[in-house]
Amino acid sequence: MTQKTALIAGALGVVGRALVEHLESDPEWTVIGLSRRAPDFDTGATFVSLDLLDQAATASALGGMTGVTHVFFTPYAPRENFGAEVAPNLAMLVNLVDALEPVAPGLAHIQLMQGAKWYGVQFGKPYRTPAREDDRRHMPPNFYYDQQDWLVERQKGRDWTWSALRPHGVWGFSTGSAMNMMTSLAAYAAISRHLGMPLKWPGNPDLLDCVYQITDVALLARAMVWAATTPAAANEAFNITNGDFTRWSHLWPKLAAFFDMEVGAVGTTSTRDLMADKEPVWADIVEKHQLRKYALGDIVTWPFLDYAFANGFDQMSSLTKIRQAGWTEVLDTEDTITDQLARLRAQRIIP
Amino acid sequence: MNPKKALIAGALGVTGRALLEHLDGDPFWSVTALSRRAPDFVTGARFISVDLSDPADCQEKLSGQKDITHVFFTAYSPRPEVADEIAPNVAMVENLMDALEPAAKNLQHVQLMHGAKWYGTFLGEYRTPAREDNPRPPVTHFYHAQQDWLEERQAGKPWTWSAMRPHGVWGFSTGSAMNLLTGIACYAAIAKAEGRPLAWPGNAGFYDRLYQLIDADLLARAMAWVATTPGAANNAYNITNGDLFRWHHVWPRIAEFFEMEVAEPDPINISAVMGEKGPVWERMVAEHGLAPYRLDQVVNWAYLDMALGNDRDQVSSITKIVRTGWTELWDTETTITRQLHRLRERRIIPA
Repeated sequence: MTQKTALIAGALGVVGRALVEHLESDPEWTVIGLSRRAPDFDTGATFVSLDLLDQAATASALGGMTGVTHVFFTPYAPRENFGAEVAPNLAMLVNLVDALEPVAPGLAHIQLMQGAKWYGVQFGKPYRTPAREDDRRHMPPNFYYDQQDWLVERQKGRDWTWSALRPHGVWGFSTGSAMNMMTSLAAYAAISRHLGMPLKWPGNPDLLDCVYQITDVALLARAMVWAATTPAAANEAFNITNGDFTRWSHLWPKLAAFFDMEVGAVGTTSTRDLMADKEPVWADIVEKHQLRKYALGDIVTWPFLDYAFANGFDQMSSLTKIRQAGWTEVLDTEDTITDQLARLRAQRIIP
Repeated sequence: MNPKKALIAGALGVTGRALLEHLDGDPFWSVTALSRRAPDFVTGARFISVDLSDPADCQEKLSGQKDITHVFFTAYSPRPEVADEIAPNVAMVENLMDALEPAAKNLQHVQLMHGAKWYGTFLGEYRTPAREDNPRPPVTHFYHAQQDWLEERQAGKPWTWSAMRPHGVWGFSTGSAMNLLTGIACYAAIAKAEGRPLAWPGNAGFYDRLYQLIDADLLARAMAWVATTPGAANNAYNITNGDLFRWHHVWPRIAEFFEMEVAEPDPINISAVMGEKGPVWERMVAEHGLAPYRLDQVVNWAYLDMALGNDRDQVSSITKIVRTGWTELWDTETTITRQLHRLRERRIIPA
């Protein structure tokens, strides 16, 4: 096996962080993480603090990274609307590739991290499900389209290949990232319990009985490496999830049991509003349970939880394409939904 | 590999016949097939005409089958009421085992063919995705009684058991109680012959619900795999193509196959409307030189009414079999047209 060097952009987000953890223990891989922030955990990866929107800084920081073989591009620059997201998110990718490609002769692969927004899930209306990779695009804007179109064009005639992964319902730990469903949900549960409440369903009542899917972030990290290093997967986009389907009505009792709570009634709410004043409650919880001293604002993104729970329709990705390309791993979501939470508990991040 | 000898009970039904064809081409298997009818096709299998509901007939015909290693039990004795099906269907397994087990000293495995009715599909709503360990429905089906009987019989024996729970079996058979493929194919062919477009005849809401099929040839492969994989022994498994779909996505593919226009859904009492098409079919057989079957020999319209008549997602979790090591996944859209082409090749439907 040849030695590989991963450049993980967005290495402190939920996906990037899981990939760092997956690769840093693998002797075949050397890992470089890019993030604006510095890591607050021990890691064998080399971290470079960088704002990819800064073209000059990117050129300077990446100019010496001659050994990079695989790029995993996971950062996300959120903006006030979908149209405004296109320019900065495309610029980050262009800046990185412009800086790296001339200096990294061994570059083998560039992978984009996308998601079910490719299929229009963000518009709050049912989309064609199960979504297949070759479904018709929705009307732009969607920065995933711009990024992929740009990368496909850039790759033509090159020695490296590209891929894109489209997970949905990513389930894992991160701090300070724009999208984290699991930590937000865990904090919502812990606060409810601390206040003597049952675990009420805060989302759209219809979503409880709709079909949903989860992607365990550790599985996603393995799939990312698989797609980046499997010749049959080159120059393609793939949906990825745990590989099964479930409904929140099945998962909710499992989550309640994990937190040793009663399942509450449907209590549809804006968690952003409901949780706006809960920073002191969280501080009490941290104190009482001797947790690591994260502020609530460090680990939750209430608007993302509200967004993720707002849709009252089936959200389903077809995994036929990745399975037929050779991917075989399937997790049982109902059995594994609490595994990542148990890790958080062991790390004293949640009570 | 040791040579294996299969006994297929119900060998002219849709699953038995597909298994027969699968094993017939495998040099490690020889096949003895049981059916009340004689086969109307060429096969290398040895056919025994036996009435499984008659203990004496079973003793006479089966007590000499000393070298059977694997039993695949796919026979089904329908009754109008669910409760009335229990006694005759358990008796068939019991009669077979009473006759065979004392003689077949090398018996290794006995497999039952069940289906999603295990979960109570006949009652309307059931928990989906259905897992093998779902609580049993409030009404006992003969599947439960058969499995309970077989589990008890197997205790302490050197052989093992399994049960398959496919859904939406998609393959060819004649004269069987349940065949979705021939039902839909003949419905479409008759509509075309009558100059009508292809309208969905089932429940209007069901057109948009989740559904699943299994190609009978894939089911045959799964049956053999489960029966011979030690890790799969003494368990029941859901099995499907491995993907999910909605009929309204697939209906246009069926229309394309028949070169027809798609019309708006037109829910009908299928048995009432199509039950009168015998004379139309006779003319089609003559005009197109089809295999000389009567319409009621290739289709059971009542089954189509049942299969397409509800308004619920029909979803089985196949995570258990995949995590046991089963890796095949067939794309359902491909499966649908593949089996339609085979019907055409067999001259069951017009070219």
